Amino acid sequence: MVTHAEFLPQLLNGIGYGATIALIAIGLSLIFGMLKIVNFAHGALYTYGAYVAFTVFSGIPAGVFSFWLALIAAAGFVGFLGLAMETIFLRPIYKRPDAILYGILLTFGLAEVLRETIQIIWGAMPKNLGIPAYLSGSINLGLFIYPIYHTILIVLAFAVILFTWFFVERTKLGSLIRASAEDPETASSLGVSIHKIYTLTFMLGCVLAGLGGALHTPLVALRAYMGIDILVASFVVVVVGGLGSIPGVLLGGILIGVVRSVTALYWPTAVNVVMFIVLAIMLVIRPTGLMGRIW
Amino acid sequence: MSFKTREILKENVLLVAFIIYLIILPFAVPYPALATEILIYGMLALTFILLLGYVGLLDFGTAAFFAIGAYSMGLLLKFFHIYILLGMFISVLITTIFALAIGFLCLRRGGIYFALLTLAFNEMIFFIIYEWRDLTGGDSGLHHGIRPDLAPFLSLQPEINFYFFTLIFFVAVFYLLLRLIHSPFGSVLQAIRENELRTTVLGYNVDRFKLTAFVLAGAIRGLAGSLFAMYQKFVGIEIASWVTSGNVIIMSLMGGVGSLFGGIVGATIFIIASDILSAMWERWLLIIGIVFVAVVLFIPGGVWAGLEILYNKLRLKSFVEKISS
Amino acid sequence: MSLLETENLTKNFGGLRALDNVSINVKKGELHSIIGPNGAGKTTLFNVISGVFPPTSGKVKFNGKDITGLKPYQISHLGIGRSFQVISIFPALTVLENVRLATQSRGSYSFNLIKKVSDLKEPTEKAYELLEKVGLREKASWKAGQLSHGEQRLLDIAITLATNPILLMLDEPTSGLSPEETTKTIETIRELAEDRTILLIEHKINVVLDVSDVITVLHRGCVLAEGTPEEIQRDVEVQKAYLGVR
Repeated sequence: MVTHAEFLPQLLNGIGYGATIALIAIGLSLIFGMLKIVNFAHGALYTYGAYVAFTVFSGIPAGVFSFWLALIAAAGFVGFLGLAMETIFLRPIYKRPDAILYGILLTFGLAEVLRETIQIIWGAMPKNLGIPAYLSGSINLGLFIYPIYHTILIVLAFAVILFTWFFVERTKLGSLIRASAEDPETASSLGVSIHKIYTLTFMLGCVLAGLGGALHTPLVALRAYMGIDILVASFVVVVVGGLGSIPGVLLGGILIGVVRSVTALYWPTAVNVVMFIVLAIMLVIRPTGLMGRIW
Repeated sequence: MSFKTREILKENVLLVAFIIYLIILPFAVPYPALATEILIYGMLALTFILLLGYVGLLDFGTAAFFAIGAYSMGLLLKFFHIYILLGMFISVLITTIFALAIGFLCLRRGGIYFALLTLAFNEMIFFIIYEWRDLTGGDSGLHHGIRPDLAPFLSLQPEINFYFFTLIFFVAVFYLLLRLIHSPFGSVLQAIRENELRTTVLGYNVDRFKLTAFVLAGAIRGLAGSLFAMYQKFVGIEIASWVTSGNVIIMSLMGGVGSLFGGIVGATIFIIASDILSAMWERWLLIIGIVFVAVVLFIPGGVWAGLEILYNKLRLKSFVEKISS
Repeated sequence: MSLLETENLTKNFGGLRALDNVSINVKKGELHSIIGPNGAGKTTLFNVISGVFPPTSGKVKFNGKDITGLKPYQISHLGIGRSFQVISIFPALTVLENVRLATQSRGSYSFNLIKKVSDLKEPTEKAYELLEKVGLREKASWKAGQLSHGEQRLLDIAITLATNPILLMLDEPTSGLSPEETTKTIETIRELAEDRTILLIEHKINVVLDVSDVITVLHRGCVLAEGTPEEIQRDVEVQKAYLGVR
């Protein structure tokens, strides 16, 4: 019999997981919307974020400051990786007629390279950080108690998503990005450096993946291949939620996260499979997703 | 020699060379079993090339159907000691049914979604196999240990025998796909790749064509899986993993997705290279990854396209020499 | 006798209204032109009629039958053929194969996995005939992508004609052509109009004035005017919309 004290924290876990996946998936969605590239290296970039955060956490024991430093380092490092990837490898293929196809294949190959370099740098054995002392403990939420770190995770994930949404929908640079995505020729003729916008958007997408990884570092065992599950979950969320819509992706993420967590309570063997069942149902009854745009 | 005669000769030379290659292969590689592995992965590469090179569909889910075929065969052997050909037939049937369902779902959204969805459902199959331990053995794998005889005095235990047994199916699949490409059905598939919108406006139910091609690919993958189950006498969960799907993609791109021959070239290169490299350096996949990226950037047509360019250049060279002498 | 009718067709793309209550009537045997400046919604109208996407509201009727929301391949089999503004061929396939694909689509040839496509007698012969008509017979084994721009246009027309449509929908068939080629194309269209109904999109108004029976003017998704070429020429609204536009 599952009690309130067990169910509610699990529900929150689902929301937390869903929000982080949504965060990462929004990065994927931005990259596709702008560059028409499905970034198959997104999971590997998430993994890099997690490993960089791990290094900062374990190398710089400075309390809460380490936490923020880890996030910034992860975001910065993965952003830099994104810069290198886009300018060196992706730019040559934009003009090709099958650019979308090449984009997928290239990012897929680069993901392989990234995963191997992770193992060269950090070794092939899994790494476990655990929640650092200064972030551990729980808070009492009346009906149940909930770990502090998980609470921080949820708050931060939503904050970053909100910030991203605000940036894309309400700022000048954001509207520039959206305009360039819809009509690159017109934007270009108006003096916008399309190449810079492409690079910036790609970096932003990667940063989101890296942040997602960094947030997960205290919670999971780090392995070089951990990104694939995240990549696949992002894909599922994007299809279920609707590509191109930040609220849609968030909604999709939370749906998947909650379904997953609830399944963990009642039908544990199906935890990893249930999101595909949701995906299949969605494809049959509403292929465009919860809030899909024209795409 | 007239142009047409030259073309016919070229085509036949290719096929003859191909047959010789297939017969010599088990003796040319480090050990005969490796040749069998090349054929089996070659079949997988052929299905990938059919979908990408001829229909224009990028499929990340090869492994799922490979595994379904393998586990079906393994289970049939383990629990029913089934006759080999009957077992293979049933395995292909089971895989085909899965391909129909999954193909339908993956084609629901158009365009790029297909690639993502094939990866997603590949993972789903992987997790089902992983969790259903009672049936599949989970990540320990299915140890059935059986490689049945084809007939009372036709044992397939010797690796060379099993190679030639596999070869029969490989040649059948290759021939089938060759016919398919030149058939009316095949020309519609290529039209879809070239210009899907126009094809649909001309009156073709494009989704039905795509699904048929996908299901056919699934059936062949199931066949390859059933062979693999007997090749290894064991079914490990790694054949269901996206890594296996990825390897098929890599070997196909390297070989060249523009031609069926690219499949066998790619499979040969990849299987032999991975056999040698993995013994040399634990991080050999890094090299594969770098080579793959280089191929996509610089020679997207793969080795086969490179060979064709080379061949044309040489022919041009000898032609130029002829007329200037 | 009305062959094609649209009733209050509206199409929204997010916040953008591309078609606003467009109702047109194409009579059998007519050469009906749709004109208007760029962005007026002409191609969107074609896309909705041919089923490429469904309208947000409104109906399309063909021969009295409601065809709204049908898929493009179904609409094709009803006898509607269309071409695209941008040349839409199959570049890596041969010129013959390009046309044969169209002739092959009628009849149950295509689910054959075993026969050689070159053994399909009727579709292949018909394809050669069509190539003869447009003057591309000699280049039948060339890859379509190797043809010149003008030749690709001809191939495009051959493909469109190959399915023998009752209603032929042509989207800016003279786009990118020189004045001589334009005149020749219009002549060809005039000939074709003798035994089928034609719905034509153009944005060069003078091109269609001589040859059309009826002209509909679209502007910003709405029907601005409709009538005979003489009526349209005199229409003040049309002159205003076209002011400064050739």
